[in-house]
Amino acid sequence: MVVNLQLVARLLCPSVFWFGLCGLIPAIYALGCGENFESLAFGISALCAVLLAGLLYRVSRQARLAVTLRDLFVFTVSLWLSCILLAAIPLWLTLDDLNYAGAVFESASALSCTGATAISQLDSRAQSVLLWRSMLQFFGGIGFVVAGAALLPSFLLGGLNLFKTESSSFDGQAKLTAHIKTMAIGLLLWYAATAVLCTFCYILAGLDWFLALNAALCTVATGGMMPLDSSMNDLPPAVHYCAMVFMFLGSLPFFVLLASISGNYLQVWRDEQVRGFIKINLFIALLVIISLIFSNGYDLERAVRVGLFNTISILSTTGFALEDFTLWNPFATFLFLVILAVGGCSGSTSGGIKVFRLQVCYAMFKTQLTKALHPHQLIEPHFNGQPISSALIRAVIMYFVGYVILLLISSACAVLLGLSLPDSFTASITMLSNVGPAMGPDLGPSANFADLNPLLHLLFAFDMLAGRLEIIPVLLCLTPRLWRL
Amino acid sequence: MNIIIVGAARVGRELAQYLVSMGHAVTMMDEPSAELTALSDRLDLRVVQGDALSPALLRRAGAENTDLLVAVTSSDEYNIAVCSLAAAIFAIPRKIARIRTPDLLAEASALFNGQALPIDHVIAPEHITAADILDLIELPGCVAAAMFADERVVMGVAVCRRGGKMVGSQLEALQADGKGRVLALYRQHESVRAFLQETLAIGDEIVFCVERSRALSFLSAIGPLDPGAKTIAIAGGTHAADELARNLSSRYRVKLIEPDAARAQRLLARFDSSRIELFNADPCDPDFIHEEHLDDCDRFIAASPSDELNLIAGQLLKRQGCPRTLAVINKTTLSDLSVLLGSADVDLLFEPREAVISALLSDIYQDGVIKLRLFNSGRACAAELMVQEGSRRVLGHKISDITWPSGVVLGMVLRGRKLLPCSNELELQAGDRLLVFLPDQAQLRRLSALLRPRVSWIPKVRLWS
Repeated sequence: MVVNLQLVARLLCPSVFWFGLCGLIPAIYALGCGENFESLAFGISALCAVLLAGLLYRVSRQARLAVTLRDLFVFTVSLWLSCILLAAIPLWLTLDDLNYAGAVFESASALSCTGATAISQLDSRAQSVLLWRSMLQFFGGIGFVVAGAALLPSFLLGGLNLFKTESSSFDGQAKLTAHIKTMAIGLLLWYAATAVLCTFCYILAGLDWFLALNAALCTVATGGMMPLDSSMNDLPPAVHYCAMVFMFLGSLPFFVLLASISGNYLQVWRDEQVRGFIKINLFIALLVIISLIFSNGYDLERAVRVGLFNTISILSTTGFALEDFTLWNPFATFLFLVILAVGGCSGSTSGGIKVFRLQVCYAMFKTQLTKALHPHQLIEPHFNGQPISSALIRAVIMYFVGYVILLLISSACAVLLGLSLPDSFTASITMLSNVGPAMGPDLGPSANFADLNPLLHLLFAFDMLAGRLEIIPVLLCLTPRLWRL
Repeated sequence: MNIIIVGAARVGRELAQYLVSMGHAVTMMDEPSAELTALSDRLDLRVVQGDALSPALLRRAGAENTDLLVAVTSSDEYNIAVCSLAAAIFAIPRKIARIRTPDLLAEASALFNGQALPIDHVIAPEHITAADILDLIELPGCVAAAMFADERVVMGVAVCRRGGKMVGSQLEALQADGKGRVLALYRQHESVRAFLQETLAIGDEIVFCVERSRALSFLSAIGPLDPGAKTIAIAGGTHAADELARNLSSRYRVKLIEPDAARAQRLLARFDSSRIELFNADPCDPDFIHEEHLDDCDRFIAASPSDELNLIAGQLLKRQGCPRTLAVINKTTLSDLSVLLGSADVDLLFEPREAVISALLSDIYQDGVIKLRLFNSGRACAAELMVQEGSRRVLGHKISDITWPSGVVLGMVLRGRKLLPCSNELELQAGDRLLVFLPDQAQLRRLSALLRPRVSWIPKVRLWS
């Protein structure tokens, strides 16, 4: 076997074990609330995870420790896949109107921080299930590899290669500390701190603590799965402002934030990606607000709040629903369609194409324009003050090609499975970018994904996984070349 | 420990790999290159690209709370400057610099004493290579060896050859007189457990520990001793070859063959007063070999900068009848060739890499490790450790009662001026120097922790460095 599957199993074993134990938290909460059936379901799923970990341990005892790049790709993809499948078990057991495909869709959506839900009538569901969804978003936001590196004692093999399979934002320059472990702990601390702060802010804004906790977990993770049917609609305006701040924080690059905190205070403002993200946000929000005031006759406060909220929510790939932006006016709908695929900064919890890829493309475009006029001028595309290496350009092009290929395949499959054309196309974009709401007639921001064909659920779950891992690792695992010599 | 390594050439990269595997926080600095980027993908270390002589860049590499700086670029001036900068601005407590200019090294005690230049240890790979080859010439049959306990004890690896006195008898017989000890046995490059009952066979690799004065009689049991040498030929072109020639010239008649004419002229001026015979020729040229009767030399050492040339020259001379040839090999992949080479070929492939890294690690290690030497391509190591005052898990216990880390083999104990073999009944005292062999060098950390007092019962967890 070319891929060292025993080694992959050995690496998976501790992660699966601890992920299973995390399932006991909602079980205990359910016991406290008197939801005995749910508690039993969560207990069973935790047992499943522990049994799986034990099985992996038995299989992998004699693994060779020589690790190659393809092992790492297979490891990351199989880690996410096994966590999605395991997390779906309690949802499937507790919610009797949900089949297993729907549960997989739900857990994939939560773990990839997409925020599309397949559960209708959320308000009447057991609280432990809602807590589980929020927890899954929180885990998925930071990523299993980072969390594993920070929390598990002997998880790491080698250098940044493992991190690169989960997120492209890890490169040598982004490494702040000599040990990866300290950096992972730093990322995790920042992430947890924003979550705690966000909870307090929500409580101050007038939510009860359970709702505040759940909302905070899905805000900082830029997930967007509110435990309410109406999402953000009937909540006080203070909650909306608070959500804007923390969604924005969640989509800034964590490395740059950490570097700023550890002494280099101005780095956040100097970072080109952060500036670009702020500019795009303000520009789109301004256009939306103007269109809301002049074409829909909103008053200024409401237009600013609703316009800015929806812009940030879509750009940070959170996908909270506050009013239905497809019903405002065609221009606003068009704007949201454009920014649906953009996403936040790399190195954050947000998904999508990421601002830096667009900036790299724009820098190349500008350079080529100059070259067309002055063929002999020596000029290089720059990003963040440094010339862009050809390796980075190749990686960006590879990502775009992968994105388009998956988008076309996924929308074609969705159409074949009986979805309307606008629905299938926008739903594929929103799933690949981990945003949440689609923009078609059936799957708008106010609708949910409950009544879909099970096959569609599985297709979209795959899209979300691929989008979260930035396309390439998942595509690689599907190519026969990875499994052959 | 936070460590900065300046210079990502071969020595720097190898050193980084060992330090990372020991759990240190390593930052690597050098001019930008694709190799450097690939390094941080492979190893758990931080890479800072750029000129290490810039304080801003050093600060970005975390120089403010660094415990140790190792400057191993190929330029002496640069290394000295980086160490001075690090001492002046960041007050890094320990600095190690690589120095290769022979003149500077000759005045090392006046220059690098901490006052004139802020450098705590000087590392000269060429000198280390020369010293190691010198040791190996005197120890027939040894593949690698190092001196411990104030140069009184030899620990090394020897290959059993036809003609050894004890071939065919049990390994136990080798340590019957109590002066030498067998620490490990490798058969076909695989470690053998419970080796004392095994029969010594040709081709076995034996790790031994023996008093230096008795080393030759110990080695005669494993392989035949070489007839005494008078003339030694060296294929030169490197600092190591020059240094070796200079050291050997006091005891032997030395022929140094320097292929580069300009370099030969410079050497001529330097070796003016010594008895070295200098030649400007290609060591592989058959006419020259014939003309100078190189095949009649007692030893031939190929230490030119090219691995391939060394291998070929060694092979050639061996075929033509030189009794013992040695080739210096810098690339690891080539040294694995020794497995393929037959008995009629070059006697010894010498890898300076292990010796250099060992010397660096000996300087870096503090926790009671006095000296260490890597063997077996860096997987195993021999070390000399100090038993410290207050290490209650060891002091006053019999050796057989102590729980040693797995795989540790005890060799000898130096107590005051007395050398004692490690028998099961021996009780360790504070101040004893313990000579041990570890088949897995990663165990050294646990061993050194065992031999020093435990500071606190609260486990140390460092969250942020």
